[in-house]
Amino acid sequence: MEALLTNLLHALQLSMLYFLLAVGLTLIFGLMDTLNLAHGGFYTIGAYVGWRITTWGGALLAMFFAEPGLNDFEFNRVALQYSTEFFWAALIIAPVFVGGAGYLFQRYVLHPLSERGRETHLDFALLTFGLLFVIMGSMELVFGTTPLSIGMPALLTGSIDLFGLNYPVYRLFIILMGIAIAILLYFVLDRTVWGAIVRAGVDNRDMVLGMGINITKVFAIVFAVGTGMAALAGVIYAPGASITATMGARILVVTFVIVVVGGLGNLTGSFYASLIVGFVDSLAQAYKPTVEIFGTEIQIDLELYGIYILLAVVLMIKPTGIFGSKGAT
Amino acid sequence: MRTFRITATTIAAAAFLAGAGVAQAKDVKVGVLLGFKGIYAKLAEQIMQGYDIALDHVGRTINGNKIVIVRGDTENKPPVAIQKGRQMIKSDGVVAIGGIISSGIGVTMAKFAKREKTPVVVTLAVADVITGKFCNPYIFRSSFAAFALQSGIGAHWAKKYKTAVTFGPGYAAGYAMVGGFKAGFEGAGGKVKEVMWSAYRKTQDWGPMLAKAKASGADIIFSFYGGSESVQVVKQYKAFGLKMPLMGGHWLFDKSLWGAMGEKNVLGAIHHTTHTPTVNNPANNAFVAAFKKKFGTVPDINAYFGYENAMSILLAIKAQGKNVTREGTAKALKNVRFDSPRGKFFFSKDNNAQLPNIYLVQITKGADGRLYRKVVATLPGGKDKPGCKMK
Repeated sequence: MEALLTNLLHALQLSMLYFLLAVGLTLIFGLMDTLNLAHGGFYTIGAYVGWRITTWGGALLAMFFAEPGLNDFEFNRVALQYSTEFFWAALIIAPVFVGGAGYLFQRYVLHPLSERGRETHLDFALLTFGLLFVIMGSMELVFGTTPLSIGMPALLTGSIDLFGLNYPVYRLFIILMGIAIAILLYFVLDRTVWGAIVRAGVDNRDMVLGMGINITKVFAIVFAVGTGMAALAGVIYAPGASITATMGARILVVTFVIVVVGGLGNLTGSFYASLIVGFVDSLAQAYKPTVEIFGTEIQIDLELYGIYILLAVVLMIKPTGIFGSKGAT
Repeated sequence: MRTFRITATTIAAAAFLAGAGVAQAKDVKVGVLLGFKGIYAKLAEQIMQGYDIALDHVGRTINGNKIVIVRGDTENKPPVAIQKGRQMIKSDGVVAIGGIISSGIGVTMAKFAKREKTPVVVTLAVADVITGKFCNPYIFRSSFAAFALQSGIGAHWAKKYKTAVTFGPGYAAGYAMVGGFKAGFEGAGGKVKEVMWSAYRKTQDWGPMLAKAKASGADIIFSFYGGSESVQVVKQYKAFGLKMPLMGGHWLFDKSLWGAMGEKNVLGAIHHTTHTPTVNNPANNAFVAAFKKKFGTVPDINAYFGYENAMSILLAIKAQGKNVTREGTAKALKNVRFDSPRGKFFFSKDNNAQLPNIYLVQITKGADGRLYRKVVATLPGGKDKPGCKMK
């Protein structure tokens, strides 16, 4: 029972992490039909910016509050202690910063490109895939190859008693953040005028333009929110793991699977798809089935192939995604 | 007149060539195959630093012969390594080839060494097959084999613990390292309760594996991970507060990862390694002092590997006297013995491999608040995986 509960929590945690990663992509790919392969790049930048904010913040506080006369090593130690609380600042600033960069990218690179008629998926794919490599390379150049990490704030450190189970607080925080973001975005897109404009723009661009709404700007904002979400995921991911220049390339496949399985542009769909993919990945690790073939035990590694099987089955049976309603574009 | 002039020129040319020939006889050339550009550039540079110290140590002129190091850039590709190696033999006339970082090139060069009857001494490349399935009288390895290191530590932990579970990334290196541990641990009476593989470069969450480890009730978790995956495993292990110790090699607790792991997560952790700069023996102290004097920093592990690689080749050259040949070097390498920073260095009779010692290292805090690697035990090195038929 305890093991089962732990595994379910693990699966939920991983699902929410996946959701945070995929939701930005869903917004951009789904609502705007822009294939943004650089999504992982924005996620990477978000993590590095978050790291920069916490370290600079810590150093700044240490300059004012540390006892005078410390040597470099002792000073850095104090700065490191102060830096952990800047996690909260990073959680807000990094998405805003990266979202801003995303806005400019859409407005001044992607938009002019589509204005000139280069708006097929391949055009965007080539450009953004290139950008992903540019981002990975520059991050490595600026921050080096050594893995970095963001310190955990005091509030989220340690573990708490949950149904007689000792579970790390940080993992519960990831679960809560995933659910909160899902509710927030659902509310904005479904219940506000802003959301209505975005949805209308997706369905009938000319009609929205005719109503005097600057749709170009709306799309740039959606793109900014999408990339901001990637950055948020980067910051949230960092304290429990590590930041490396190549972290963005590793999430590319899994996020696209979620977007496709969930149905393009379907926010609720991608939430459920995250749950499916997260549970498959996590439970596959917990309960690895073994079969005997010709006397040799072979582990069926669903963690490695599970999502591809899922993707293949979904595309065969319902190409618009399990939760998708509109035709695949 | 014309005939005479031509003859004179010919004689002059012949004299020049003969002169060059004489000069060449005085130079003993050693080839070094490394990936000087790309991902191994830094490693290659550190290895060459080790070479430099070894040359200072043994002498840049041995038995009256000037030693010349010929560099060859492998571009990290086996075919290029072969091409450069052939060039070294045919046009430079090297007596031995050192270097080689990756296992892929190591395997290629093992076959090459046999075909060309040229001694090749591998600097790093830890794949078992290089001195196992592909072993021959011309291939040597101055670093260690994955199996030797991990089976050695497995045998040691079996004395202290009864049961273990293992974690590792599901790809070639993971299988070799964890397989070595399992063989050593079970060979010495331990029992590996479960072998768990994560998806290499995909797994983000080790929670389910840690939960399984906890449920298994094993005494220790043995793991092999490197880089960012090490950071994740160590952090998540700590977050769940498991009682069973997490063991692993120096890849798991590499110094460059301590910052990302956080001090409280690494303090007190014990790991095993083939070498660490704080090992206290005369050879190591002398090496560290010489290195600091020359390069102004503490040597990296790769500088040690470069040093030992160069030392074994240079001493084999020295043992031959004035006339140095490829065949002679291959024979002399068999008898090379010296005190290296890692311990007593010599190539095994069976398969030309070696691993003098395994060191158990604990991460401790010094009086100045910094973290240090403290050697807590020196263990005998393990044996290579059986399977070499020398021919």
